[in-house]
Amino acid sequence: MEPARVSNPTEEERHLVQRCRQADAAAFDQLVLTHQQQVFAVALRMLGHWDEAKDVAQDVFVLAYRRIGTFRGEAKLSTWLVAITMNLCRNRRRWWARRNRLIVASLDDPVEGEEGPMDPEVADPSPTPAAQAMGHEQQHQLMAALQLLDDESRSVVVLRDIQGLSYEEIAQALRWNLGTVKSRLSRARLRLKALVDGRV
Amino acid sequence: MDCQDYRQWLSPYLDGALETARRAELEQHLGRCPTCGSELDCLKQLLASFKGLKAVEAPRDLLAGVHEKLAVKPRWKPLLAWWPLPRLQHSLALAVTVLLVFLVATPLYLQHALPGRLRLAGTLNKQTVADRKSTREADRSAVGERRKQVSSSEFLSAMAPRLPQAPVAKIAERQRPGEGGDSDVFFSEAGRANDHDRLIRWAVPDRVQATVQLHGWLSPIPGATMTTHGDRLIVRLPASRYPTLLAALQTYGHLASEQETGQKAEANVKADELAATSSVSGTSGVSPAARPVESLLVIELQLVPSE
Repeated sequence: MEPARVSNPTEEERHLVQRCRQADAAAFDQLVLTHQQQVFAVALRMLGHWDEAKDVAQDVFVLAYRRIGTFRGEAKLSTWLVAITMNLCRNRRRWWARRNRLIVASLDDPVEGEEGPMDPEVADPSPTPAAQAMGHEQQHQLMAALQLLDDESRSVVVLRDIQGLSYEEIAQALRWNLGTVKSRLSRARLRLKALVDGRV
Repeated sequence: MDCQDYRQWLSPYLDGALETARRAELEQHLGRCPTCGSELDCLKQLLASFKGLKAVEAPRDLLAGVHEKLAVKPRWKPLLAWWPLPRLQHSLALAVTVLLVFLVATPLYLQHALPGRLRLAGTLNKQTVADRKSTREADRSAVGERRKQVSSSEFLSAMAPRLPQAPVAKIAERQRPGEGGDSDVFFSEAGRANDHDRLIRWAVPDRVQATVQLHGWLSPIPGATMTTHGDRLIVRLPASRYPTLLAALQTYGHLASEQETGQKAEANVKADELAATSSVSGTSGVSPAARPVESLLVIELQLVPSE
């Protein structure tokens, strides 16, 4: 088993965490504002639904506030938050599954969601000539295909290829070893490519 | 190594995470395998398309939503606010929950896990009131199931022509005002041991099942009652139905002995017993005063295991 190299929090992060532990509201707000972009992006890519992602992202910070005492500084703060996000997203999807709820939502223009909730309609992941001709539609198609992956594959692709985390950070966030990260990422990319090309 | 194995290396190769030796081996393979080379190009396109994704902007009101959620505290938190060590609140809540579950579940488990025959074998006097209630409810539900399976009235009617003639000389004449039109079979532990006209030892394979059977037979008989007294059953039924009962008893197990005891109790069953009797069937709609008076025979059934 290949151990993951530890990426430690910076001194600034340690100080911020220390202030949060002392119930410093301003410090916590700073923590949210610093990491909300990444947490929300991960949640959106994992869930494919704007409102659900927003709800989960808020839950992540609520949980982080209540459990900041358990942050041991063995990973970067962002990695810790991503780990919480992945757990909550997994739980949310299970919650959907128990209620037979299927969401493969439109992810084509997240910025538009700022002015209102994004269209939660079910997207058709099958490629069409028109879609292939448009870059915008290609992205839409890619995101829809991402939602068709299993949880593990989606997690590793989102963290590596969309969020740009290193293998070590992914290993920390998902509690896998490095070898598992590599093999699952490789398998997930091949599977995703096959989905996008319509080979599956 | 075949192409399938080399393709597993393509992903770390593109990320620059492939070990030097493997990297060289893969590059050597890619030089002579156009299929794997094409696969590598596809993966490169996939990764390039990710880079073309627009950045996601977090909602502007995300922080406000976090504040709102933090303002809503769990309902149980104020209950534990007095606890001096906040980190132990969860442990305390868990411990209290486990204790409550244990206190509630243990009596229920003991009651339902014990074999039915043990419950009838003289342990009733030691049971708590709650245990008795749950026993009664369990027995009633069992009887309900049995009644669904067998229509007792039809069964007894069919058996009637073949019944032996029972001695009726020592039948106690009892009057139970208001009981003429209703079936009034019930279970209770209040039966009086020595107040009976017949003593029957009923050899049965299973006591609980026998009790359920008996209840099913008695249910359609107007005025019939059944009480439990340890492992004995006290049955009161109209004297005219005694032969019917004897025949029915022999369809489940057999009669080990039957004797007249000659102990006659008071002429009327006390009113408080009547009040405690719970009906398991519907009323006939006839007012108590208008109903005919029935003669009741008191039978003590001793359940003994059959050979």
